[in-house]
Amino acid sequence: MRVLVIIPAYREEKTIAAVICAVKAQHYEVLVIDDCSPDRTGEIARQNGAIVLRLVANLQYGGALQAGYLYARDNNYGAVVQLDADGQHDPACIPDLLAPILSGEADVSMGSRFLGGQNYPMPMARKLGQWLFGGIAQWQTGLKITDPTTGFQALSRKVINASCTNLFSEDFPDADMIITLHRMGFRIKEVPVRMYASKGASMHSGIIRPLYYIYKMTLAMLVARFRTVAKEFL
Amino acid sequence: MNLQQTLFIVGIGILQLICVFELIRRHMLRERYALLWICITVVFFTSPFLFDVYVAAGRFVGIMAPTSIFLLLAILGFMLLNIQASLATSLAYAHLKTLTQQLALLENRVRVLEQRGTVSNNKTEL
Repeated sequence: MRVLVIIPAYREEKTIAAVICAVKAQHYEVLVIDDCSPDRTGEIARQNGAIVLRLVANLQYGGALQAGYLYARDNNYGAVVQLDADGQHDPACIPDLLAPILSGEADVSMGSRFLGGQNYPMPMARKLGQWLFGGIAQWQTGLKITDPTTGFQALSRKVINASCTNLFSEDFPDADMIITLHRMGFRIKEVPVRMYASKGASMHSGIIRPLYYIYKMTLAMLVARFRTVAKEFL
Repeated sequence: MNLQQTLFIVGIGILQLICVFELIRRHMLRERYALLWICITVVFFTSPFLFDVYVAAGRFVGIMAPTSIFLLLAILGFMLLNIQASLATSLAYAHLKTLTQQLALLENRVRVLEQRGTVSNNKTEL
């Protein structure tokens, strides 16, 4: 089965090379989606052997990720692993993340930084957010989700196809997608992975963005419960 | 406010909330554009119960009549909605312009590549 590692990136010229090299060392194909970065992110990614999709307009995390799914679908990849460009996700954990997908045990394999006993440093506000979103996700799906906002995931071909539709969130496709995919009948499994504190500014830094994230995620998770979902992708 | 007015205003707020929720559910309204509508709904819900607070705030800025205070709140609310819509439209236009330009450039490159392919085929045949 062909596996594609997709890395959405925006202004990550300092870290993207190391991430690509670490992934390519495990012999995976790498696709970097350069989300209209004003720096040399795309150029450096190309120099380090990644396939680069350069978006001509900034579509934010969700839009960039979906561009990666479209590429994977159109090029007949059997599975996709998504990770961040800032070095937060340890590429050495990719085989563990892929294992449930390759064995057919799950359709979505979510990397959890809290399983396996890792002590991941997190500000109190983010811990509260994790608790809130994990609680809502558990209430909606009946699944125990320890890391509902993880961006370190592996997806099967069927989930890739489903994610290439307008149900995919354009800005922060996190915990609300868990609910949507569960309702569509996909099997979700959490796997312990290693994560490091982000070296640069994360998408949740500042004051306005985290507040907006809390609002958006809470609303999206509540609405996801009532959305009409198609089961044709199963 | 009397009970009749309270029920009417809260009813409008509930209807608005249902409309916004349904639009989000059908992917016709993104959560980021629903935020202001939700804030306006909150004002609807709270106005019967915090009437005196709104009136006091209005009088603080020199507006005496309660109806004028709520009219001003409505104007401000719609002004913010219009500003948000204008920003979204401007951003969408910028994206559209970039996409259109890139599409034209790509079409030209494809045409050039196709022509090169045709010339190469002709040379091979000769």
